Amino acid sequence: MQLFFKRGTLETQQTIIIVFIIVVLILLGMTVFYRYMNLSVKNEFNEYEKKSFDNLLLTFPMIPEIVCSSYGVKENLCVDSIKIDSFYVLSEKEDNYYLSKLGARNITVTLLYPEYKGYWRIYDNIPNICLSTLIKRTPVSVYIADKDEYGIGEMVIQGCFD
Amino acid sequence: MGLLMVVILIIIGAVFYLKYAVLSDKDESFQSTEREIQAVNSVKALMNLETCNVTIKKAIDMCSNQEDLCGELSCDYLDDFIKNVYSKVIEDDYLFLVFEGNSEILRVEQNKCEYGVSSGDQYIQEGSNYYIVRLKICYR
Repeated sequence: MQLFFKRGTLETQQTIIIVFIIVVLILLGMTVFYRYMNLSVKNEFNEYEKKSFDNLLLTFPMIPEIVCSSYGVKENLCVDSIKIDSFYVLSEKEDNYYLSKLGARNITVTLLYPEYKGYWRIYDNIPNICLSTLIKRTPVSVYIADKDEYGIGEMVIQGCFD
Repeated sequence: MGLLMVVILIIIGAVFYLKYAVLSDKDESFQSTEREIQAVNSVKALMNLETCNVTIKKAIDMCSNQEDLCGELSCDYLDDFIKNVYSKVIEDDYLFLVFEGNSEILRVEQNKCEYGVSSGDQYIQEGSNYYIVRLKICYR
């Protein structure tokens, strides 16, 4: 009788220990899973941000606000220097709209060819505090309106990422 | 019970391993895309330029017909012009090719450029003639 009671106690204790270990493992698993999911969502968001940033390199020179056109029809694929100046003023005025469309970016164009001075600030919306910045650059065709000729500029897009 | 735990742990480990193995090489495609955009834009920007009062497209057409441009053979003139322009735009070595059908009519090369990122075939039209322009940039 005494031995039977001791064995029962022992088995109960074993069960409690196993249940305790399982609970600990489940809690540990949930914590790791939560952290992993959190990190995964953050990574996917960053990946999306980078992709949209990369897309901007391709699509921004073609937006109607700055692309060369005649009577609303796109001609040669280039950016118009007069439109750039107007767009800078517009983007300051409609900053919320362009912030949602373009994000926190600085966009500039520097003329590389021909070799006279040419520098345009297109869009300026990077916050003062920025955890990390990414810079992408690409050559673009620039229509220099006051000289009525085409040049090649370097478009630099600076993005702010958290 | 112990065996079950070991199996569960192995499954969790395998899921993590697969997840990381699948997501490993994303940055390389991102780089490649950016460089392809740079190569394509370099060709398109060049095609809008003018020299000697003719467009580059016209100059390529003249090169194809072995005509003179600004007192010299148009192909030689284009070679110098493209080298001059790209020396300001492209920091790396490059290979610029123009084809009419399958025959190469212009080849401009900065150092030796074998392996790089290509703009792919860019089609240009001058009058009734079509040309294929290809730029390869060999990033250092």
